[in-house]
Amino acid sequence: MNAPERHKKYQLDDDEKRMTYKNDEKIPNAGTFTINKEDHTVGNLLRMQILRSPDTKFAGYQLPHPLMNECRVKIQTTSANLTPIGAFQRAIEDLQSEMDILDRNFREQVAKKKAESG
Amino acid sequence: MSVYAVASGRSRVPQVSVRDLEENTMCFEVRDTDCSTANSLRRVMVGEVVSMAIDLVTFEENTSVVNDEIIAHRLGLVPINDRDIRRRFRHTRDCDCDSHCDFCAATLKLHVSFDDRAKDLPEHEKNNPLTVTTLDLVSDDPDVAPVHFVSKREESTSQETGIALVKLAKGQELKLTCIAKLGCGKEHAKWIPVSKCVFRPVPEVTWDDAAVAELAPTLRDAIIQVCPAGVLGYADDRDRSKIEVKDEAAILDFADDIHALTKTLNPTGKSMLFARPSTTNFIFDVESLGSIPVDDVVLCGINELKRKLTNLQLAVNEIAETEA
Repeated sequence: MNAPERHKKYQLDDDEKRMTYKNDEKIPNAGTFTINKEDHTVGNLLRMQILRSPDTKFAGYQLPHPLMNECRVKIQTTSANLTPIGAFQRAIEDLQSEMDILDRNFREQVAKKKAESG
Repeated sequence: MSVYAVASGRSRVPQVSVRDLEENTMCFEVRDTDCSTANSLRRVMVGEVVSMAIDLVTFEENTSVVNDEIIAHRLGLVPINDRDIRRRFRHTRDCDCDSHCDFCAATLKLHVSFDDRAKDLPEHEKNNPLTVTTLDLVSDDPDVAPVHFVSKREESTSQETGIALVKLAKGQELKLTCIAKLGCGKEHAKWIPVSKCVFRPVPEVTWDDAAVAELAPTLRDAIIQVCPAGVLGYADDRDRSKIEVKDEAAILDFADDIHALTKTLNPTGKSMLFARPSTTNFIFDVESLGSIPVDDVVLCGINELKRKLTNLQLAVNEIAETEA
C-alpha cells in the first residue's frame, strides 16, 4: 500500500536534484558528491576514472543504504589547483570521450561483421 | 571535446572486435578499457535498457486449473518484440493520459475455449488437453507482438508452436486482456532484454616454448592431459613440440594444475606457463531474448551510459557555478 513507485528507484522526481556537493571542512581539497538515483554503475565508473589521475589523493564511493537510491562519491585531490569538482568534471569528460569511441567502434565492427556474413 | 581528451592522454581508446554475431547471440571483445567500464556496460544492459512487457492483466474468464496470478506472471515474462517500440511509445508515467493510452501502452487479447477448438479436431484428438501459447495472444497494435521464438533457427527446429502459457481440458475457457507497457530491468526482471550478459577478462598466456620442446613427447602429452579435453592442444598436430591454449575461456581455471606439473618437470623448477587475466581486455557474451536485436541491446546500453554521464555533467557544471 505504501510501497514507493517502482520507477522511483531510477527516475528523479520533479523537485529532486541530480547531484549535491558538500565540501569537507576538516580535510583540505576534499568533498563528497551525492548522486541521486544512481548506483554502482556510475559510482564505480567514476571512482576508477578519478583514481587514474595522478592529481587524485583519494577517491571512493558508497551506497549508504539499500533503501536509499543514492550514491556518494568522495574525492580528495593533491593540491588546491584542482578542486574535487574539477577532478569530477575531468573524469566525466574522459568517460564521455571513451563512450563515444566505444560506441563508434562497436557500430563499425558490427557493420563490418554483418557485411562479411552477408 | 573528445578530441581534446584523447590528445591529453587521459582518456582510454577502447577497441572493439566482434568475434561472433548470430541472430540472437553475440560475442565481442573490448580492448584497452577498464574493468569498471566493462562492468558498467554489463549492468546497464541488464538493468536499464528499456523494453516492453505485459504489466496489467484483466481476467474475464478463467476456468483453467491455473490461478489468475500465475497466468498473469507467465504472461508478464513473455518477451514483446521491439519494432519501433522505443521510438513510438513513452513511459506511462510520463504520459498525459489517466491510466494508459495508445502512446504509452498496447493491448493484447486472448480468448481460448477448449470446446470451440475441439469442434474442429478429429474424433480421436477431441479429449487431448489443449495448450494455450503466445500464438493465441492477439495484439491490437501492428507494431507490438509477442516473440514466439528467439531466432528463425529455433522457429524452424522447435516442436512447439510458441511459448506455452497454460493447458486447458474439456469445458475450460480462458479469456483475458493484457496491457503491455515500457519498463526496464531495475523495475522488474521481465523487462530485462537479455537472457545472458556476461564478461570475462581475456587470459594473457605465454608458454616457455623452449622448455616445452625439450621435454619427452610423453611428458608433453601429460601436460595436455592435466586439463579436460580441448583446453590444451598442440600448435601443430604433426610436429607436436609446441603446446598452445585451445579454449581460452577455461585456461585460467586450470592454470594452477599446469603450474604444479610443469614446475616438477622443468629442471629449473619454474612453471612453463604464464597465464593471468588481462586487466584491460574483456570478452562479452550477450544473448538476447528476441525482443530487441542483440547488437541493439549493446548500443542501447552504451547510449544509456552516455545519457547518465551527460546528466552528471550538467549537474556538476551547475555545482561548479554555484561554488565559484
